[in-house]
Amino acid sequence: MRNSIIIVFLLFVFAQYIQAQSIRIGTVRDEQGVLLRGANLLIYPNKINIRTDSDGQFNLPAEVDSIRISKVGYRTEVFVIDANTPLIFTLTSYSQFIEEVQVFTGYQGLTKERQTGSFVLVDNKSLERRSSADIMSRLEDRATGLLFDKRPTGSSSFYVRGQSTINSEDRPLIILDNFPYEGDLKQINPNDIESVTILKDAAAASIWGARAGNGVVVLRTKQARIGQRTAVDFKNYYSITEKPDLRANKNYLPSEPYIDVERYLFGNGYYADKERDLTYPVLSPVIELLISQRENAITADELESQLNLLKQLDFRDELSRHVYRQRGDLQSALNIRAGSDRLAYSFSAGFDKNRSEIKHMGDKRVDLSLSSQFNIIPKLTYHNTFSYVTAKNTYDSYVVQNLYGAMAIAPPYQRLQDEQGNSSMLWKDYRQRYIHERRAEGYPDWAFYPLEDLKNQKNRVENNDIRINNTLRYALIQGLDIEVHYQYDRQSLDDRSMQDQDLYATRDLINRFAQKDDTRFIYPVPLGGILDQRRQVRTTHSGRGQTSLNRQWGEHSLAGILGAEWRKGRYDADGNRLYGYNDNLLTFSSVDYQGYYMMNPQNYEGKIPNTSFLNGKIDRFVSYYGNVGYDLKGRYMLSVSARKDASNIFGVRTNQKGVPLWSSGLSWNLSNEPWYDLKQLPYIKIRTTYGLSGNVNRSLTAYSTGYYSVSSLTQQSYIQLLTPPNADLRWEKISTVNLGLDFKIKDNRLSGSLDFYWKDAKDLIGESPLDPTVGFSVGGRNTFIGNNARMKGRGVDLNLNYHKKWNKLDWSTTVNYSFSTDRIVKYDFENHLSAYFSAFNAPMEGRSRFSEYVLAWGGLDSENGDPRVLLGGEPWKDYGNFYTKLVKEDIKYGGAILPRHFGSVLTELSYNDFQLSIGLNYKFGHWFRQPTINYTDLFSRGRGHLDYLDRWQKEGDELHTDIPSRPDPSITPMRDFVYQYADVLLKRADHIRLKDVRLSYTFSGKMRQAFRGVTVFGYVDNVGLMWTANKMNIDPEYVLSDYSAMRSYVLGLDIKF
Amino acid sequence: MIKQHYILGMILYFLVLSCTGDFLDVKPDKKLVVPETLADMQALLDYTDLMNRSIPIVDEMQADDGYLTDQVWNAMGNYPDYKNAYLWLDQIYETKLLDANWSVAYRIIFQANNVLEGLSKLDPDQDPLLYKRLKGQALFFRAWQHWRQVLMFAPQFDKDKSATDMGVPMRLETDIIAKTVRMSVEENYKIILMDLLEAADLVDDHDAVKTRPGKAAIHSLLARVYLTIRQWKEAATYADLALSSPHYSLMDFSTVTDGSYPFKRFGSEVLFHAIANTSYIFSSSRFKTDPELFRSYSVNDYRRQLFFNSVGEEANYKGSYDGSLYPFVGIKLSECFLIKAECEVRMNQVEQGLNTLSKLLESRIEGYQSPEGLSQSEALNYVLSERRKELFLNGVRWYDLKRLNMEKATEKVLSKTVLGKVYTLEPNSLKYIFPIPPTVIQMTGIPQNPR
Repeated sequence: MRNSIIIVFLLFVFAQYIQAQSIRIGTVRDEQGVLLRGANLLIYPNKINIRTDSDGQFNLPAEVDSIRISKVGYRTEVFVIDANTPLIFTLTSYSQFIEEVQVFTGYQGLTKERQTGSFVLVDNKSLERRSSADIMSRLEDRATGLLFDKRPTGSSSFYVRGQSTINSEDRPLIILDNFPYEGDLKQINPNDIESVTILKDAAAASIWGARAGNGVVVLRTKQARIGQRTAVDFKNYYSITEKPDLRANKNYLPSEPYIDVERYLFGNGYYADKERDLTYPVLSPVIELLISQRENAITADELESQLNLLKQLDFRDELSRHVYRQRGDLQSALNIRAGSDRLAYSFSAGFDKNRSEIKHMGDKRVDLSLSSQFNIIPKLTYHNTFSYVTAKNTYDSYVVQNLYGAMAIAPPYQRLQDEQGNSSMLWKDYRQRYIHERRAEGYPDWAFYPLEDLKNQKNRVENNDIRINNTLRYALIQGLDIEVHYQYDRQSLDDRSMQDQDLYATRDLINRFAQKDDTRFIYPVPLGGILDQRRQVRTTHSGRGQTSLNRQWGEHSLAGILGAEWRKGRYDADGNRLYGYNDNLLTFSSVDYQGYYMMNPQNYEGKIPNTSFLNGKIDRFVSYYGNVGYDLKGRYMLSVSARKDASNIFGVRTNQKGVPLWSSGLSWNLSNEPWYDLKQLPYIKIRTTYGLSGNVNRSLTAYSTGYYSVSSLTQQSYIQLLTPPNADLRWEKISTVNLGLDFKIKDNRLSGSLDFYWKDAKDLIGESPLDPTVGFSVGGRNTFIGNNARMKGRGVDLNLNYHKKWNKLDWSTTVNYSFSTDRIVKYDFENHLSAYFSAFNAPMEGRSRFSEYVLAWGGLDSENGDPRVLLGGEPWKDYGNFYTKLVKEDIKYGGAILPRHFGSVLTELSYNDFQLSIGLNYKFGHWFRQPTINYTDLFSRGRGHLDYLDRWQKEGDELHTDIPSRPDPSITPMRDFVYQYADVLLKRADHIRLKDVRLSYTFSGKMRQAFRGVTVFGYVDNVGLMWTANKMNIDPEYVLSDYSAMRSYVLGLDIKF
Repeated sequence: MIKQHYILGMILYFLVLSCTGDFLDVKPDKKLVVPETLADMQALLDYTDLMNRSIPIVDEMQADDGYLTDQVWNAMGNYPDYKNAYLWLDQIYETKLLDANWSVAYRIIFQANNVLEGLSKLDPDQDPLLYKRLKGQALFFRAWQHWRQVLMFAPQFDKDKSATDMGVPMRLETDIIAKTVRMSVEENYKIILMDLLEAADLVDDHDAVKTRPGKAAIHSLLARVYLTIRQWKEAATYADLALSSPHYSLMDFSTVTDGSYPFKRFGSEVLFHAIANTSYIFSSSRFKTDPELFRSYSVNDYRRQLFFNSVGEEANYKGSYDGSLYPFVGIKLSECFLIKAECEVRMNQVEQGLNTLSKLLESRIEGYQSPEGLSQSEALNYVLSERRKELFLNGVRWYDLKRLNMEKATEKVLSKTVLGKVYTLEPNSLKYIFPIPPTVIQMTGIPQNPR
């Protein structure tokens, strides 16, 4: 018995030995010597398929003449085997040529190099370069195709690849982690964002279906990851911004010429009606002085000396001294990561405080977020992100707009504070005489003290956002996962404006309704304060179930997702007002909203304003989606995606029969071809995609609409705006063709990508004219609104990165260039000719969505300096009959309002531990109309412009100026109109701007022991304009704003443990 | 294995798909409503901003109640169409400003037709009184607006020519696709009267809400229509019926306090409230009263103070029954007196007519004495001149001119001087028929009015 056991044991050992003898072991590793597990081996001649184990080893079968080894990220190689070949096989990795970039679509993470679509990734380092408190401004200049529009009237403030719609939402879709974000972008802490991916073409964006038509911006927050290194990161930034430069704004007339104009108008009896007007409209101090002199209350000498005093004053100095100040910002951010092998978490806290450029105003934001990952059991992981943001903003609701800007009423000789430091009065609404009389009668003071009101306003808006995002992922088998997501987010806004009785607006309302009855006063609007409250809450629940596949076998690899998601959103808003409010005691009075009261001084009847309102909206979405990417040999890639959306904002027919949105793409990695030999160009890939994405319009509905309201006239409920149902109302469809090329030059010296794209946007919401006799209209216009318009667009995106190293000096430059243009192809509604000149930019067939139109200038009349334009080729100035004479041929196309060519250049130099980076951006191919003097505005509202000083004044002046003469006070506004729209005022908006400069130093040496890194940096933003095409040095980005973006200086500290 | 998982997934997805129906069947905006109930129908009619407060008033610009100074006219650069209408030019339309003159009526009619069609789908027995009332009110709105269109865009009713005269398109259903054709004037009036007579039977006596027509309002409108087509007997009958309603009474003007706008809204004289949709042109300081007309208000006439703000001979109107600067173009009780009086005089009941008139003028003029010994034609002129004084800026003068121009005895030549040029309007001029907006002609192909 014992012998048998020994023999068996020996046989075993022998067998093992024999096995060992005939089995050869091969090892696969990379150029660094790192052993490669999971490499695929195809062993010829029998075509046996095996893989290396975790030690990078495999067993060679007995019969072998060659082995082909492949692994993702490495060049596939074939090795011929003979008896003497060493069994260590080395694969060269792609990472030598390309860093494999991970982009996030909100559905999955993808390796950019293995995609057919057009993606841009803005990484953490690029995001950290700037220190602004909001995320979007950190993205400016960092991605091709992303254009920021600084006009105050622009609907979206940024666009991806231009306009793809006419009447609907034009903002790109924002994704936060994995679901759409509809809240305020200012509530997102940029320090919490790990990276931003921009999905530009159909293959990239169509996965988001009916909302992806304007491009998609995916923000990915910093996530906890099991196995992460423990780290702490602390940031602290201080920034100061220069006081607004009010002198750059030409919409100003200095006191001396201003008073001159007032005297001119007074002499022409311009104010005669106002003097007699029983509503006592306000007259300026100069006019009152002129009246006093006329009535002999003061002598002519006294008048002149008073006027001379006023001529010395410049209101801009007053504003600069008492209203504006340097803006200050403080930003602190802390991030802590830690974990074990089963649990990881990342905790962030951020604090931002801003002291506004307007005194007494500012805002604060605090945000906390906790991201965790937990391996419940092997193969089952749970991710959770909990984030809470609270912000408070103190704002000015009416003071500054009375003092400065388009609606200002303050004359240039106005003072805000006298020499003794007392606040000055600004004459507003009513004549001084009227106000004094009322005061004497016992009415509350009716005077407006701007500085007091600026100080005493108590308006604040609070924003509170909560987001809870959950993901549960289970790895079914290798390469196949299923995951379930659920997110709850709630954004609430609370606007509380507490207007004490000491504010002018409150006293004015009280006085307007006050009733005097011999000796007694009755106050229908009660004495005390007014409390305005407005609340809105948006709550969204989103859910998703998805399976992901990621498999490789041999030369093939397949990655795909298939899923369904739903979204339920609610928006509720309400507002109300309390009169007679006492903040200390929390009491208020009731008012009579029904009764009519004789108002002062208009002496007509009015009702006390009732500003209460309610609003509620509900969103429902259900979608199915999937995409799949197939890769052969790491060379040929094919991608397909499809998505079907159904929503309660679409018509019934659309929901049931609507066609899915889809995309398809191909790409070819030339450099991976076995015959590819160009060592100078180690990486080159061509890709092409075609697909459809959609865009929705929330203001329309497929239902027959009636809105209930209550008539202020009759107190009865009523339904207005009856429109018939439109069961065919559907999303807009944008199809995009994209052709792209990615390349890298040897040694990674130069790399980049080039994309060409063509868009065709169909089924755009447009208007068709409808016979007015039919009787239905939308908003009073007899139009049928439906999906009946179309536009096209095309463009180029180029990104180049250059890198060079000499000894210790490292230099790299990134150049971004984009070309983008659009054209409306079909829009049935023929607007009246006046729509060409409207600020709302009526859409015109054949033109870009936002275009400027002008008239041909005919010079000034040499006899009186009247402006003339060419109508029918002839100089013409019969202003009153402008629209009678004007024909379409007289209207010249000026140009696009948004730039056609734009981009940036970022240069970084590193020397030892110092780093200097300089960023500039440029915009070309667009136009703007130069602002100028408008006499109607000057006479009626006192809004002047420096051009007035260069106006035509005598014969011969027309040879060197185009600025019209000062006209008769009763002149028609059309005289100003024809000059404002003359082509001589149309200027190129091309410019190059030195945007920012950053200098940083990272401590090394002793510090290294305690910290992983300590960096201090200085940063200057909005350094200045380098060049403009217009000779007046007007900054085209800010030509419509009251003042441009001022220079900011930032000092920052970043400590990493 | 993969296959099985995919199949499972597919099944799950289709399950989810099948139960999404209700999930999506939710109104995106809570304030949206699909009008279906009686309350909804009332609410449709109560859309006062459209139904009562956007009545066009370009007719007053063309009539002789008032005038604009050269300066004001010239400064109206943004309203070229109104400027042209003021001068009775051949070409009026330059912009789309006056399209509303045509389209507002049809919008009101559309709203009314929606109510009528909505009612036809409901059960009258739910609330028979409300049902009838709503139907009657809807018919009133429809008839009223059709009638205004005929007055504006068609020749004055002439029973010898009405069968061939071009009238206006009429809309009796909400169908969007129905073709727009012009009917004859005779057809127009036939349908208008049919609607009104039916409405008069259905509606309650009185509606507390004055933006809705009560029986008296419908009777007054009938009286107006009959007056236009020169059927004096019927007009007088219906005016009388309106006057017999106990819910309305004349205000004693001696007790009305003066002020910026002395007449409060919804006063006892208002049978139906409606106002015009433009304040710019008729605001107090722009539209000045015709001096000759102003002079005709005697010193004892309370209306001199209450209707006008005057400095010497220059007067601005402030007597709107809306209590604001918006002209009142609804129906007021005094008009019924005037219609009755005029018809009685025309039917040769001069005594009776002057008597009726005195019942009105007692409340307007201090110590009023009815004139004695007037012939029929003198009495007619007297009534007509009082009508002009009472119904100043009420949206009736232009149409009165149209119908009075049919008789040599009462016709009038209008004339204005603007920027030194004189413009006249002859009594039988084609300019009394307002041109249809070019947009409408383009889209429908209906014939334009001759000019």
